[in-house]
Amino acid sequence: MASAAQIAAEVRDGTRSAAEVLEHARARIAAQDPHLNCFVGHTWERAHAEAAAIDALRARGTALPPLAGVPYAVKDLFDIAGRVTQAGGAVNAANVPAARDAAAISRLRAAGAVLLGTLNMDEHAYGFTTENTYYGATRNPHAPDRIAGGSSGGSAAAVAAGLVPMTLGSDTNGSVRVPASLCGVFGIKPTYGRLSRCGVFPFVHSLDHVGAFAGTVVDLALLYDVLQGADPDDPACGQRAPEPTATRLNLPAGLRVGILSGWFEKWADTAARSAVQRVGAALGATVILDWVGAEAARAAAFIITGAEGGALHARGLQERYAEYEPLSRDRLIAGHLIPAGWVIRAQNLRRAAYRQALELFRDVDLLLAPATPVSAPLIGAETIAVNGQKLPSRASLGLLTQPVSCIGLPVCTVPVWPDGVSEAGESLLPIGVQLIAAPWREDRCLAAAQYLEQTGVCRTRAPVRAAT
Amino acid sequence: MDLDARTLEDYVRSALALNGYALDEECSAAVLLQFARIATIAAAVLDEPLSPTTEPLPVFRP
Repeated sequence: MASAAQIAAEVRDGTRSAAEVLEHARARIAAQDPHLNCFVGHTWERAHAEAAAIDALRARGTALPPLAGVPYAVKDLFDIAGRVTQAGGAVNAANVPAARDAAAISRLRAAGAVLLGTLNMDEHAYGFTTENTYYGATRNPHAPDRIAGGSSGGSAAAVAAGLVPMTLGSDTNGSVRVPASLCGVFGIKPTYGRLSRCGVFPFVHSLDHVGAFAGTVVDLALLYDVLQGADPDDPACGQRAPEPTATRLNLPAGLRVGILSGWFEKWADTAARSAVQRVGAALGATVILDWVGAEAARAAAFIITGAEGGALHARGLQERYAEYEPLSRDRLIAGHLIPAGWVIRAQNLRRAAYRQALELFRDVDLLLAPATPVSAPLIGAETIAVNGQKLPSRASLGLLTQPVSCIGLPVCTVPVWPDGVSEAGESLLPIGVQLIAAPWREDRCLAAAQYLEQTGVCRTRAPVRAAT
Repeated sequence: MDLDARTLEDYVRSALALNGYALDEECSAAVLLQFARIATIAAAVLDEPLSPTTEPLPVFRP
């Protein structure tokens, strides 16, 4: 599949029309998605109208917007005008259709992108596996018997499989970074408040971020740039002017890089730790730093998530328990029971953890950590094993992402492919590394990711194991 | 913080009733299991020393 940058260039110079690009994407999705289960809905009528509008602009000689004709899809929690936003839940099927597009989709439409549909997720974004009882599990394109990660699993898998070059997701505790890691694609979770969440089905207001996936860093930067900008309708939005990155992807001279140890070593297996070492060597990491408050920050995120998520769905769970996702409904109720004092203390602790992290950024510009403790587990696995300890899979794949999103730092996840082959002679599965920067420095994350891609340390790969 | 199993069970059953849930025994037990996991993780927050001047961060603005 061509990259978004290539597609936009070809549409711009007339090599291909937006309508032709759309037909190719439809054919790919028709051929592959029945085996992967990335999409839960299609917007073909709208897509044809958007592609036709781009082709009409070109026919009139009008300058085309930056993502003209680029097909994309969104996690099932973004509002699309005229459609019910189900957020992965059968319980939402009878909700009122959205009156307008989510802010992110409006911006992508203005940039010329063509919306193809909605993508699978853990119900209400509460999970790390995209094993949705209602829609079915999304399969990992690199190993179809394994999970894609979650909760934005359909978004990551669609890019990994080459169905579309870019997708939108959301990240509350790791829901962009975990599936990016397990599917071997690039993902960005910007600074909390950077991107508008207007028109996005909420999960945890204190922690919800809009994020994105792409097959190349340039595409990710192009997408991220289009999404930026103030939005008074989102009270958490930072109301900052866009700070473009796609034209500034050169690695800054003298970038100081550190590797996070402690919590981030303890809960990472050999492959995850090796991936960080490889990225650290490529970026010239010089220091190892222990963020001593990481465990507490993770616990704070866990408590805030349970309490806010549980409260959000309390009425529904009281009245329609049987219609909720069996894999998460009891966690949601348990979260609703968390004592207020624990939640307030968790919010206090966030500020302390944030101060600690800022101290680390006195010495470095970029911190490295594994994105997941392990590579993709099998679909249906109840536990993962990390350094000899068994942990519940659906709650633990975010062990290494939760401390970071708890304090809103920007992260780009980059894919690393371990050397060697499995016992079956197949390539080992990818695992992601988090490139973490100080608040509002997404440019550093993306520049480092671009360097890693250009030097071949991190890149996406076309799947070689066919799903059947 | 070290909560014993009986304390946890008493709390969860009372809190379920207080919050308007009418779950059967199987569902209540599943909620209790999840709450016990939360309580284990919460220890890292509750045991962390914090200054009384550390303000909460309910809407995070970097």
